[in-house]
Amino acid sequence: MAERKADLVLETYQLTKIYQNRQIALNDVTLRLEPGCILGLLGANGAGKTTLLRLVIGLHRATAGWARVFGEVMTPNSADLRRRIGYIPTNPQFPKGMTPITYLDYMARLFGLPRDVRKPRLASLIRAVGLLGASGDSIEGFSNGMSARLAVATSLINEPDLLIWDEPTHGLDPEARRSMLELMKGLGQEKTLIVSSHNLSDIDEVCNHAAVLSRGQLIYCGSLQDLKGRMRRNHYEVDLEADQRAVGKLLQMVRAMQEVRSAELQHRKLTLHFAEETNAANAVATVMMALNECKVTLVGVRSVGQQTEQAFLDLVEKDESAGFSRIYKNPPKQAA
Amino acid sequence: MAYESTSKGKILSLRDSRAAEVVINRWLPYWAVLQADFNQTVRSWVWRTWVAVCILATVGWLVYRLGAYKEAGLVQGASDYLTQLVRWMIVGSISLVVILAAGSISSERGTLADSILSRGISRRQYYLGKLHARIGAVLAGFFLVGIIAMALGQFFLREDLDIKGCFVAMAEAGALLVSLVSFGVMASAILNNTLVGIMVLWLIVYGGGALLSMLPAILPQLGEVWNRLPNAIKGYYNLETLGKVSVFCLVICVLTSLIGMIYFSRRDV
Repeated sequence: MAERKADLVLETYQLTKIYQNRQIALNDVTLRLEPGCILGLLGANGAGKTTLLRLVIGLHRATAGWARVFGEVMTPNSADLRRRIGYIPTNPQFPKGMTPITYLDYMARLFGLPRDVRKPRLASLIRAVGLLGASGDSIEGFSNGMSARLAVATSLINEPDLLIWDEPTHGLDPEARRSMLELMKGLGQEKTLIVSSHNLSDIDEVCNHAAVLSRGQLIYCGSLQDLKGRMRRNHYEVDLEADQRAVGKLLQMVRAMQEVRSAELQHRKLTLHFAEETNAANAVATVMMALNECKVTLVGVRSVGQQTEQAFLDLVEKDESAGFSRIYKNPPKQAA
Repeated sequence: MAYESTSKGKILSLRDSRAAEVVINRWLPYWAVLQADFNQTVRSWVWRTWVAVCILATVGWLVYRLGAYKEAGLVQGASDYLTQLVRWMIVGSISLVVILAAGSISSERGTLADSILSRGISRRQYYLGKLHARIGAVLAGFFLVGIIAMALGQFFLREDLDIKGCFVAMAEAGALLVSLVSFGVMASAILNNTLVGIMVLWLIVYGGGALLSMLPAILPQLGEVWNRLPNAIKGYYNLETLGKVSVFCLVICVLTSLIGMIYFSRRDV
């Protein structure tokens, strides 16, 4: 962890946003982001992801707390800080009557880039995002995919050190989504990236750090590996192919095993929960032997616990079930 | 850094190349907003309608005056023609100038945060860019029509115009319009809704006029400016009075800009 403030790309302290004394959008968010991190911002609708990003970029003012970017407090007038940030909003909207060339030129001028720099840069970006053929067309007629590409080009026009992308894959077709993920991976090798997304598999693929927001509160911030480590272990799914009798026999055998805490069968999918102290490899091997004995064909086996989605859901569930003890940062232990 | 597409065209990759240190022009964002907004305003239907109607009124009024001279032999002075035209132009223009000014920031609400304020521009620069663009567009329209009217009067009617005096009269009227625009941009920065902004601006126009008439005589009175126009156009003007009106309008403009800028810098977009 970086010690000096200047070493941190982003630091927030007790960041709180209350809209017009009516809605608590963000509550006491403290996080630190080091250079080179790819942070995935997770949370349900209304969890406060966009509010957090807008506070970080200075579009909103914090009700309490602060956000420092590159060691300086971000305010609506911090133009110098924003020159080092590339931002993509959710569903980006563009001014009317502009073409990609005029729009990118306008954006580059808003970053203060002189003509000799901005013209070649916008030309290479238009080519890179595949909008060369539509560079003279009005933006108003652009599809979601084309708008997303233009938004990507806009966020890179100032060659930023920090990229803040709010749901960049939203509304994209699978091919465009794949391109976007590849781009994020590439950019993540040399820039700091904050990506907000509903799609947890995207976060899983691209990010190395995660922050989870639930109803405006930060309930987890750390590496993605640690997040995965927090989830329920020993949870497996086995896809089967066999007649009803064989499967019924298998289910009886599996339920009788000591290692298995619970086993459920649904549409040829066997869901297994092993006991906490069980060695998963041994338990899976025992189940496989049972499959062989019952003449059941194995179609597939996977660990449910290895998915970020499960970890995220567990975290949110845990936060919800905490009830009033959420008041405390470190909940007091219950008396025996 | 350079960006390039792969042979598949769709997948993006990055290529490293150290670029030379870029020298940032700190006032370029202000110029960009000013230029974009000025172009957008003069291309808008409101501005075009305003200028077109004023030019039509100018020509129509001239034709009427010429007709009165030819049919009835009544001598028509260019100064009289221009005075009435400038007065009616100001009264008729207020509605459209109010719309132009009150929608300057609030009408851009959809793209404001996404496209503009999330970039390397401060709120102050954005506000000033907008204010100066709108003032420029309104003055450009007003002076364009004024100069056309002056030229037509000079060529077709009795030449009793004083060119310098005409510009003094137009400068006085222009100063009042600048105050109105600065009030409008302030209302636009404070209020989210353009229609509410227009309503508030109308209240300011009427309420401000009434309030001004009750203030000490040391401050310029709208009625006096109004009454002085015919004399100024004929060449009987006082530069000191013009200076007083200009300073008064400048003070209003600076005050409203400060209020608008401070509020706009503190609000969420």
